[in-house]
Amino acid sequence: MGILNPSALPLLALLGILILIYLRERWRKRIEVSTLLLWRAVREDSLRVRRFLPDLLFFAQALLLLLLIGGLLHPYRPLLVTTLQGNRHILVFDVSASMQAREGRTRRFELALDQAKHVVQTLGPLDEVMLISVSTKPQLVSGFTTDHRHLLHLLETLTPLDTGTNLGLGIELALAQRDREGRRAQIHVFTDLPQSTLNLPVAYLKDLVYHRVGRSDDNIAIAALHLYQNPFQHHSQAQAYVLVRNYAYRTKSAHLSILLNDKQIFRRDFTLPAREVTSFSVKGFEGSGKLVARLSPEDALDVDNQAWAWVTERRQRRLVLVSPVKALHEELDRVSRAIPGLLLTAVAPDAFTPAALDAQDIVLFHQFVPGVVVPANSLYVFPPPDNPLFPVLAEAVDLTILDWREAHEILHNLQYIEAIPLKKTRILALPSWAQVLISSRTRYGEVPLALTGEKDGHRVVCLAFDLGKGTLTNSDNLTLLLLFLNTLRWLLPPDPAVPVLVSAGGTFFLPAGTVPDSIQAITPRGQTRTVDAGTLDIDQVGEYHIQGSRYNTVLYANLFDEAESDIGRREEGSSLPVSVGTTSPPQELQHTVPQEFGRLLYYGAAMLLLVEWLYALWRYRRAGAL
Amino acid sequence: MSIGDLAFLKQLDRLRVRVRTARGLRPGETPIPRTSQAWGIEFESYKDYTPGDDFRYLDWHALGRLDQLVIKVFTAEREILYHLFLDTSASMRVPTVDQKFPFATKLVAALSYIVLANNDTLRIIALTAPEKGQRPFLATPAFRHHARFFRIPAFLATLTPVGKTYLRESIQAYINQTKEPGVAIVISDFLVEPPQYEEPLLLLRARGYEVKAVQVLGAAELVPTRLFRRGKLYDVEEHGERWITLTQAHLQQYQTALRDHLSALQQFCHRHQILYACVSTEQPPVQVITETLTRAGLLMFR
Repeated sequence: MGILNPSALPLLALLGILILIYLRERWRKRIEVSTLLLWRAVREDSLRVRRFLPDLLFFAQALLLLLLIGGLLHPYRPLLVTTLQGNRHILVFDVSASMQAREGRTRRFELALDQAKHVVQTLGPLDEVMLISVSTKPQLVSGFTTDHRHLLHLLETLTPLDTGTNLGLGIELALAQRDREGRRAQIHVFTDLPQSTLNLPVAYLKDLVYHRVGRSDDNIAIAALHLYQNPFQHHSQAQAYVLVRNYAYRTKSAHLSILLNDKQIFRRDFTLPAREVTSFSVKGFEGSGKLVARLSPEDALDVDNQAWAWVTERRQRRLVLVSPVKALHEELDRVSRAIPGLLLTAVAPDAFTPAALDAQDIVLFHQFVPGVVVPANSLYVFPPPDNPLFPVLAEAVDLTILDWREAHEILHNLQYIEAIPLKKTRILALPSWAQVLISSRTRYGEVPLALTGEKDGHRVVCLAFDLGKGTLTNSDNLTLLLLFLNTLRWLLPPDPAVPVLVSAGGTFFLPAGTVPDSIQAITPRGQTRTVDAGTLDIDQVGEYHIQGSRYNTVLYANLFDEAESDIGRREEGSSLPVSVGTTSPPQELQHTVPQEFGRLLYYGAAMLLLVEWLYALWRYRRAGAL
Repeated sequence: MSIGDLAFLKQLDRLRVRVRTARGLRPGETPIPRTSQAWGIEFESYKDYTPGDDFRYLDWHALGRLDQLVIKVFTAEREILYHLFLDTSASMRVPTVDQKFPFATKLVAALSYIVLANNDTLRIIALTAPEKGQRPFLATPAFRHHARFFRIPAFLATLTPVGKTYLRESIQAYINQTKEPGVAIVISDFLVEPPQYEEPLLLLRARGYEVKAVQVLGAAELVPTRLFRRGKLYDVEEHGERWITLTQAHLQQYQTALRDHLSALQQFCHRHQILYACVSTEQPPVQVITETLTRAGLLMFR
């Protein structure tokens, strides 16, 4: 016995209200008599009369109330039922790029699909099947269902993607679903990966029914395409490196072509021994534009035979200095003259107006913080006390750098960070939108010496220490100069005309402030997708065209994934015994189900009400007869 | 059962009010026993001579044979004037479950029918509370024919039991303006202090009325557990309140008080040659008329 709706329990307080109504009625109600003459002989007893003494009507009403509340509580009694239950199977299907590898006249994907269909077709009619597809992340295609035809249809709709795989995560998901509801399910994995690559405990792997497909190792791939060109370099100074790896277990010959704006600028025939790698370098580009590296002849896997990059046209960038200190202007002038493409403009703090800025500018505020929103990426150096952006707690001198975020782009390839000179430093309270880049420790706890963040849609860097006279150009302070240049590079807004490089299997996020409603993406295979919630999953290699009313850009998606390209990977060590899928008859399962009987209580209440009504009617008619 | 019920009326046709001492001025059909020659013509019996008896009705033959003074008694047939007094105080309204007042009005209607069926004369007097400028009673004109009976229910329907019981004031006011006495039937619950009913009944006796008292009690007054077990009692006439729990002991105390009250009324009536009958609303009216009142001597079969 139990109740399904305990929230109705407070309604029992209505019994108390019923008692109060009775007491009130008892105190209020008068019984009319002809005379009190005869009652004088009877002792008056007001205390006892006022006491609550329930009568039959009260019990009837209380019972009626209890029946109704009992009905609302949804009481139940456990009922033992026996049902026929089929077995459960979970199909984990690898849809990563390597499944596109050709095996004779067909592909690995089709081979795996045939095996999966065979498994489904041999199941009993009561058997339940779940389907999970796995690429870089697992996706539940279908929950447990006995509709095998529908599941076969869902299998048909699967397509291999140009992404890596996280099969281990997919199997973890299947394992989490396996023991649900106290019923053990059998997990079938359809992939071309060896079991040893899964990084799962042996106890888990033993229970899997592993359907591995594919034998071919015939693949030679572009393992990487890097274009080295910083924002201040001319296209002729750019240099492209192409890394080519032979994943086959035999020597292979091929040729590499590099095209700039569809015009071949490089071709090289080469022969690579088994499992070897080679690189090619190209420089001296005659112009800017799309750079494509292509391998031929075709091998078993096409998706890694091509890679995309972009040679950028150098653009003039403006660094706007807003500082009351003239010495810094002179020093930055010397620095900017050494950097081609960087134009320095100095503005006095009093003359600064945000309207004069361009979105492509970088603004450097030195000892000054404007009270308005700055429509450009900005660098704040040594902000004054009482500024509206960075609350200043105190000042300190000769602080020591204790910690920094090494992974941040600004600190890339920067050594000897402790060597940055810290003469005068403001102790800042960290704003909620910012993160610490370099920190020290004072009596205020950990304090930021440099912080980064994004505010009002623009990148912001703040250095809490001052750049003294000659600090940047002093040869002793090379670390500081590199930090400054890295900061400028990080603050440079991306050129909207330059395509964005993304990895296949990743996610592209629309820039902050972009309205995603009207934006569509055309994939490399010509499909049109809506960019939901400002994100786009990259699952094909090639050119994506993002088109919107106010936002347009091009994405270059490359697959540089060794695990996918190495299609002939062999099992390391001794392979585990592969479980064989079994089909067992449906089981008779006994379990308890709650049998609710609240409705009976409602019927009881209705019956009681009817009896009360009939009794009242009888009394009324009897009184009328007199 | 209602007054219009023909079967009930047929039973009433067999009944008449037993008259003992009342005298009527006009000849009629009501036999009046033990009357002198002046009133009757049909010899009935003898009675012992008492000083004051008319010598003309001495049976001289009996005196000669038996040497005993006896007076011849005759049965006269006269028309009797009946005064039906109905108590309309608030106490007749309660307990409401007993329907005392409707019961009493049915009783009045039934008695009226019996009286008129015997070609006697009838007035119904509703005893009301004395109000300024108004008489403390409502009286019908004298009805003399049974065809007038159907005016009576209409009159009774106008009555509402309200106010205190004013038996003395109402009855005195009525008899002060009525010259012809007759049979006075007082229908009330008599649930008042004894002096309040003794005085008007004695007044009627003193004015030469043959008095008959019919006490109407509710079933819940006889057995109050039918009305309540515990609660606040409210006197509808005196407006007093009393908290009572009806334990067995309390019930016995009440019933003793009730018994004493009824006994006092009964003894008073017996002492003053007033016919007394106590009826309960528990009984059906037809049974009250044909059995209870007959057995009590108020009614008799023709």
